[in-house]
Amino acid sequence: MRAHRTALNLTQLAILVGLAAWLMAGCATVTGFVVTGESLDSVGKAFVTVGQTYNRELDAKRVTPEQYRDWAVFARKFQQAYPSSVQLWKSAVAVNDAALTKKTNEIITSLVTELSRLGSVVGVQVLGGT
Amino acid sequence: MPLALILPLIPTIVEMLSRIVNAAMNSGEATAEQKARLMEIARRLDETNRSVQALEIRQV
Repeated sequence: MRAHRTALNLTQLAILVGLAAWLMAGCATVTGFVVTGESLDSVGKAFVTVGQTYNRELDAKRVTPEQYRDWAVFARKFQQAYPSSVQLWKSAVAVNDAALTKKTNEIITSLVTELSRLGSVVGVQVLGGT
Repeated sequence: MPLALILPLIPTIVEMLSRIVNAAMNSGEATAEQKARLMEIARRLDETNRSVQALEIRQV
């Protein structure tokens, strides 16, 4: 009777540990891809919003040509970097590679930092990153 | 705990550990619902990228 109770307890423990491992491993992969993909999408949309605001503010002469040039330098870099980042994310998903996801996160973080600084010039608050 | 009580449990423990390892290894594979979500994000990213590329950057 006592042996039976011990076996039951160990089995229950093993089942719980198994479930926890399964849940944790799932969160570390698919959830990570979702968060990174959504962040990348948000950063792209924020870039468009900031860019449209810069164009509008330039027309209204509320930003100086110097301020606009500062934006334009970053904007051209962003337009080059964004499709590569999207491709990197798609590759990470396709091959289930956490290292590629981490690289995508690093790119997003660097883009968000600069976009936030430039967005604040025209009164656009950029939230995002991972 | 007496050894006599533990010995009969060893096959059960080994089997459970094996299942834990298998569950952890297979958990990286997305379910159909998760795959659909990732595909939907990929579609939106393509759409957002088109907007990013279409943004006018003026020469001043």
